[in-house]
Amino acid sequence: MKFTVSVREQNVDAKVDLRFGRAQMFALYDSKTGECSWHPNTQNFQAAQGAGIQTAQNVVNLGAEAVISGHCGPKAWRVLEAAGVLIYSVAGNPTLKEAVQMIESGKIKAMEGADVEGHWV
Amino acid sequence: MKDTGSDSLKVVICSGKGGTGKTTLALSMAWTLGRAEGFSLPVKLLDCDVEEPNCHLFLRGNYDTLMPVLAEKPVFDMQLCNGCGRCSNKCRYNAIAVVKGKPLVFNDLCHSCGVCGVICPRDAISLKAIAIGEVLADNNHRPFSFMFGRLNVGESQSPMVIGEMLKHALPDGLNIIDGPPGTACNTVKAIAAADKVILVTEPTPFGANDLALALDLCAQLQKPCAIVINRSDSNDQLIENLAESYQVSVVGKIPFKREYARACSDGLILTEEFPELRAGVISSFSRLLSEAAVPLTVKYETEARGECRVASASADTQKSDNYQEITVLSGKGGTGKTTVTGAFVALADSLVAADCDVDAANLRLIMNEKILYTERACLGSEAVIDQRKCTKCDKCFEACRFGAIDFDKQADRYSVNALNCEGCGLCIEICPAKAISEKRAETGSLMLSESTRGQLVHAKLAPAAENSGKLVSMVRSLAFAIVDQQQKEWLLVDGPPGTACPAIASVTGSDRVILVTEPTIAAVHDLERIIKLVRHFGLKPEIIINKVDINPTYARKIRDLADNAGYKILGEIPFDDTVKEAIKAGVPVVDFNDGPASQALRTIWNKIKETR
Repeated sequence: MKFTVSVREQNVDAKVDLRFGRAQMFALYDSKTGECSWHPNTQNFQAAQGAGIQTAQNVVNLGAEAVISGHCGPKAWRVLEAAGVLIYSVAGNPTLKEAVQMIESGKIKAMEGADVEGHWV
Repeated sequence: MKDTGSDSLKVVICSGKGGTGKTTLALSMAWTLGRAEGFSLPVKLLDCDVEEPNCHLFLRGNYDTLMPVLAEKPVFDMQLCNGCGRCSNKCRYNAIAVVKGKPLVFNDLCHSCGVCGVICPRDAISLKAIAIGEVLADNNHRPFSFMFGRLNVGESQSPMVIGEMLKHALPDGLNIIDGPPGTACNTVKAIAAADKVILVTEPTPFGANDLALALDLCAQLQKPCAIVINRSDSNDQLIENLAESYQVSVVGKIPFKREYARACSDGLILTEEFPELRAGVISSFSRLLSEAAVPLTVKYETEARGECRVASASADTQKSDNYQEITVLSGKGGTGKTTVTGAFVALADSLVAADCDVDAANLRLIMNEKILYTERACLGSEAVIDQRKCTKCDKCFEACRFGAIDFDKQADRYSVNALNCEGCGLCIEICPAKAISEKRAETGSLMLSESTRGQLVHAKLAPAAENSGKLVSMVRSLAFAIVDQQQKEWLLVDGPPGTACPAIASVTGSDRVILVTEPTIAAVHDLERIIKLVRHFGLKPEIIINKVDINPTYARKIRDLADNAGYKILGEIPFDDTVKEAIKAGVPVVDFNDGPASQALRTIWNKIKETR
């Protein structure tokens, strides 16, 4: 499976960045082949608004089938859901590889909704 | 009383700093002039503080929505759309995403500029009006007529609601406009429409600092203005000196009395309750007419020099988990946000502070800082017209949704009005002669300061600049980098008032949000609005009630509100005269003395540490 992971640095042992839209960079990691490529997110982590939306759009265009990050807001969620991309939210401080292992072994399930409230009440 | 010279007059009451008594003066002036003998013009009060409208709370009418305020948002015809993604690329507000050939629209980010509709190669996008706010009014019998505007929580287009309100100003009468606080785009919208401006301030260093910013804005907009000092005491010299340096008159003073504060907190109109204040309000108005006749023309000079940056200089601008970020917000201005943040700054051992109230940054006034460096922030953009290429076809003038293209008939020349331009890029797209291009617009300056308590990141928004939300993001990014680099435990953020873009930018992704409120009718109303905002970001706010003993009834209302919502009351601070003394001395109150307010703040900080 092709995972897009928000990471803090360009390294397979890098920790997962818990911020999605304003993450500094993404790793595109293919768990079948072990291939990994790096994609900076500079434009979006400085965006005034809508960082999550544009980041999600870029992630979809990278060809990701799943996203690993910390939190996912309602707007990014809508974009990823529309594209059929699975979203995995990790807690604690795992590395990229640890997170992928946890998902493949079924320890973490895909999220079923944004973990940030999505409606103005 | 003198004649106003013409039949219609718009007086906008603004303040720079929130909570100085803008609404109090607007209501008193409307009420007093409305029933003054010898003042024949009809009076109308328009509450244009659309993020936190409060006048209606004092008037207690049954308000009907006169009309919704509509903004046009894109709708796609899926028969025509082929998912090319041009709309998403061209949208400056990131309000459209196109994934797997499907467009998604995010209405709350959309600024209704219309670029997407113009550039779509297949004409698949039409614009449909939806409500972003409302204008309300009632027909109650009182000495003046009244109307107020309200922006829906979570929407950012407050200037649009203000614009709609201003259409309802009396064509033949006196319009008193309660303006928004601060110096950003919404304030510009209100001041630009006014004939004269009254700036309300209080005689403290905070008040003086923010008054200077408001004066700069009036100068840039070339409006005649005058100053009213609220909570006046023996220390008005600070404001009077400032007024003199700008050659602006202080046309009135409202003395500080506890019973006035109490009456305001209960939602009463001061001049209705206290007849001794009426003469003062009438004379303030007369003096405004006679003394504020010439537009203010002090040139604004940027403090910072050098390269204009589009992002903070530091590379590492992400937030890590090694520290806790506490954001202090209030909804309503002037409830004591900065006093509370300042106390935390004094009490925390290991910290970096960030002042996200970029309209009117005050935290530095009690941190005794030394500026380490300053950089210019150029986050926005605006259009420029190349006169040699312009064919005067009028297309840009027709198309601009923000009224930002001026046409000078005599010179037969089109130009961009930088104050109105939102940098959407529509004119660039539609100009057949390709005569319009874009240039970076200066938003303000970003500063890093050193103090004995820790470093402080702060900013100064250029008067009338756009993108205050983006400048807030920049302040936080730099603060994230500094706090990480110095391995501090706390990041203490003093947030902006209101519920629109800057407030949203200061709260996203924060670890903990503390709301400072006071037991007044207006503050409780604004508290409810800011809670909606904070909840949207999945955060559970904690509440501090400041000046708790001023009004036990409203204090109880706040406790009930918190109880019902399941939010914790972090602490209650009693009213304490020495807080004002501490502000004047330029030190956090906890360092100033061990009075009741200091003790309460110490207890609160200990609670915060325990529950980290």
